[in-house]
This record gives sequence, C-alpha cells and structure tokens, in this order.
Amino acid sequence: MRRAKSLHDDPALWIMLIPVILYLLLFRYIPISGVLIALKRFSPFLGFLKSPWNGLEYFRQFFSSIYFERVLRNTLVLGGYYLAFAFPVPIILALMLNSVRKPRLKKAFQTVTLLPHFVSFVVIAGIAINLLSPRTGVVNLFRQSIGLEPIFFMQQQGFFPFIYTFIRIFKESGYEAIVYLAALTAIDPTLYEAAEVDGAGRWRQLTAITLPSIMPTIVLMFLVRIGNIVSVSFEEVLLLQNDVILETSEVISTFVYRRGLLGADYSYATAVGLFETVFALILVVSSNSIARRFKNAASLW
Amino acid sequence: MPHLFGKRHKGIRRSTGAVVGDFFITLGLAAICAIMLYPFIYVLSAAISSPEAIRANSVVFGPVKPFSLEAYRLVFGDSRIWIGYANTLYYAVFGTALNLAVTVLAAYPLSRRRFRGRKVMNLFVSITMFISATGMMIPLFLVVKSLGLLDTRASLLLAFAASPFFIILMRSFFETIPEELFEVARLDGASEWTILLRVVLPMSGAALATIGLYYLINRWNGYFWAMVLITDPNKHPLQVVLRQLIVVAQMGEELDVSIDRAGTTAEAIKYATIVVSTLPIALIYPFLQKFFVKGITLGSIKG
Repeated sequence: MRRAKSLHDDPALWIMLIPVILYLLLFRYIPISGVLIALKRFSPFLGFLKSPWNGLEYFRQFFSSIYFERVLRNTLVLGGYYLAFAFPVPIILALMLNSVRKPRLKKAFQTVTLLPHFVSFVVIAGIAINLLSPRTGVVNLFRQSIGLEPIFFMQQQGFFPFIYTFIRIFKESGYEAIVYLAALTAIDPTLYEAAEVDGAGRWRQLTAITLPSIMPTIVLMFLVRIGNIVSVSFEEVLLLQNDVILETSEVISTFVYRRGLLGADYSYATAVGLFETVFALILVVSSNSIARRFKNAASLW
Repeated sequence: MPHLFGKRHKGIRRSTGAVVGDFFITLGLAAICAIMLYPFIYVLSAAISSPEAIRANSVVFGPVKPFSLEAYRLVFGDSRIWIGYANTLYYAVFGTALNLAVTVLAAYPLSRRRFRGRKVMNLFVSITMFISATGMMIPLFLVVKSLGLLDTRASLLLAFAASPFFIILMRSFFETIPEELFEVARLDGASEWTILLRVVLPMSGAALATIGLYYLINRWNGYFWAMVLITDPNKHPLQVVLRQLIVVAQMGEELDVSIDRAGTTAEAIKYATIVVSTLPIALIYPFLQKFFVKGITLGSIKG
C-alpha cells in the first residue's frame, strides 16, 4: 500500500499544478489579502504597506450614508424579484419541453430558448434599450398606434426592476431549464405506464408523479438562488442603468464600481465590497447547510 | 381502487384530451420561441433594411425594402470595428487556449485518487470560489495595476487564466474515468504526462468541448474587465466597442433631446455590428449543445 501511494506521488503531478498555484496566488489570494485596504486610508502613492491604518472608519461612513440603505434595498429588490418572478419560469419551460413527443421538435425548441444565453449582455442590453426607446422603440410605436402616450421606460425609476427581471427571464430561462429537464428525464417511465394503466389523466400524472419527482431539484435550486440573492447580475445592471434612474438601479456591486474604479476611492469601495462578501457568504453558507440537511432528508424519503 | 374503472389496454389511442393538451403545449412553446427570437429578427431585419426605413420607424418585423447592405460595407470599413474584431479573436483564441491548458493541468492531479497533495490542493482551489466578484473587484484591479499590467493585452489573459469552478467541473469529468485504466498505463511504464496526453485527454472530448465552450463564450462576450483594465482603444475587444456604440451612444441620444439623430447610417451600423459580433457564437452553439447540456447536468449533480 505504501509503495502504491508513493508511486503516485509523482513530481510530475506537482509540476502540472504550478500554473494554477501561481495564478491563484497572484490573482486570487493576494487580492483576498488586499481587502485589508478597507481598514487603511489607502493612497496609491504610499502603496499598500505605507498607507496609514484607518480602522472601521470606512464601514462607519458607508453604514451612515444614504447609499447604504439605497444600494442594499435595490440589491434585495432585484434579487427578490428574480426569485419571485423568474424562478418558476424555467420549471414551467422544462415541463413543457419534456412533454413534446417529437424529439426533433423538442430539440429545435430547446435550441431557440437557449439562444439568448449565448448572446452577450452588451447586445441584449443594447437591443432592450432600443426596443424601449420613446421615439423609435417598437414597444412605444405599438402604444402610439393604439392611441397611448409613449413612455420613457429607461428614465423612470419604477420600471427598472421589472425591465431587469424581464431581461433576466428572457436571457436565462432556457439555460436554467436544463437542470430541471435532466431531473425530468431521470424519472422512471414505468411509473407513467402504471399510472396510465390505472387511468390517471395527464393532470393527475403531473401532480402525482412528475412534480414530486423533481421537487428535490426545485428545492435545491431555490436554496441556491437564495444564497445568490445578493449577487445580482452586476454586468447587466451596469449596462441597463443610467444616471437618471440610479435611485432604483444602483446595487452594491455597481456602487463599488462607481466609487472605487470610476472615483478612485479604493479603500471606501473595498470596504463596501467586503460588506457584500460577508453578507453573501452568510447567505450562501446558511442556504447550503439547509440544502445539505434537505438532501439528507430527501435521501431518507 | 383504480381497477374499478375497468380494464385498460397498453397502447390504446391517446384520449382527445391528451391530443388537445399536446397541441396547446406546442403552441405555447412556439409562442415562447417567437418572443425569444423577436429581438434578433428585429436586429437582422434592421441590419439589411435601408437606413431611411429605420429612421422612419418602419422596421417592425422583417426587413423593409429596398434592402441595403450599405451598413455592412460601412461596418467592414470602420477601423474601430475591425480592430475590435481582431482583438476579440485574439482574446478568444489565446484566452481560451490558456484557460483550457491551466484547467486541464490543474484538474488532472486533483482527480488522481492517490495523489498525496490532493486534499490540500482541492481546498486551495475551491476556497477561492467563496469570495464574491464584488469583493474582489477593487483588490484585483490594484494587483493588476501594481504588476504594471494595466492597459496590456496580457492583463486580460492572465488575470482570468482559469476559473476554479471549471477546474472542479473538469476534475469531476476526469474522476469518472475508471481507475483500472491508470493502473494498466502505469504498469506499462507510462509517465503521468503520457497518461494525461494519451489516455485521459482522448477520452475527454465531451468535457473539453463543454468547458472550452464556456470559456470561449466568456472570452467572446465579456466586456467589464476589458473596459476596466484596458484604456487603449486599439486593444479593446468588440464588446467594449459595441457598448460604446449601442448602449452609451443610444442612451446619450435619448437623454439629450436636442441632439438630432447622428446621421442615418450610424443607426444601421449599430445593427450590422450586432449581427457580425453575435453570428459566430450563434452558429457554433447548436452543434455543441449536446455536450453543453451534459456538462451542466454533471455540474449540478456534483455541485
């Protein structure tokens, strides 16, 4: 046994790991330790080591500013809307796709619903802004054709969360449906045959076989989403927002970008980013532990 | 209980209700697909319609005559777009190659069951997934800056040389290879490098295609870090150029009513650029869809 072990403790394996070790040290671990600048009054001229310590001052500044409440609220609103409106869509889509009997038709539908996932945020956001434009957008042309006033969607605070959520649904539903489709194909087909023999109709089969079978997947995905509620799709928000609607569209991550990278207020922005990391970590860890407990319970059923 | 409803035979004709239900489900999916396709049909239509038709708001569904390929001529004559395209190809080809190389080299030792450093290295890789992108944003920028890599093409390649998530995913693929194969290869005197190149990689076509596609799409579609790390327009990938063209310019126009449309051709160029930037990916993914779906499924089971 000992010989077998040393046999595989080949230096070649360590050599293969060199690139990833270097990469992670340089671009992950050093930045992680770099979050300490949140506790310093960082000046690019003095550098990391010589900048003076500043304690929790930047955290205090952030928590007492008007931005704290605003960005936290917007982040949770976008995450919450996503959970409420977007979560069921891929499940329904997967159920629909799964009931298509012709394999080629099913594949064609799936190819189309996956398309938006592969298109860049920039293009999707650009098209959305275009279609919603007050002067040339198709949505407003339609409103005008039935005698309604055009709406300047991208400039009204109230519309932003809905526009963002709709675009996320549009872009990711087909992609997220894949997990549920996999769970659906894992269901034993003899269950349906037996149900049919017993005279169970379609609806009965759905509620008695299909939904209970994919319920563990649904619950797990739901917990994963709760864990990620803070991590809104930041690149997308950044593309869709503009100065006029910052009040409803500024989220924690875009705020960090604006203050830190555009405003060069490095320490303050790092403090805000650290707050987000801790908050997100608490959510992820707690939803993971619930998920694990659930998984164990599910295997007992 | 259900037996009371009488005998049922296997293979009987499906009830009218089921047929009607099927019809409505198909109809519903067709409607969903129409919604998903509409924005792209709109763009494709606008890109081959005459600039005047776009200006007059007559493009709603399908191209408006007279057709015009003027926009494409302009796109291919516009140096910004050419340079952006060339840069995107550069980042996509070299970036994806680097990503795959680092990922495979990391995933292979991590998948070897009797590798002594396996546990600690798995931890070393996976722990980095817990730090949020937002928390990393400023520190990562400062690290790139202090390494003197700001405004270099290398910054984009190196700062995103691999994704811990895909390393773990690749490791899961490798772990499905039966252990006996390794034993046999070792008995034949094959080195770890030979096993990786001659045994493992030839068996991992689906995994390489899936993860390669993920990386390729991230490289092709990414704009944020390219915008943050690179200020020289000659090094910008297409997505950064596109953002300027279709997001910033568009919002600028709309917010400032006094500006008249910046010429009719600018409008057409926008759509033609979207088409030429999106088409390559839209043409590739249907062929890789099978692998791709498999990859997500494996990831979700292992994850």
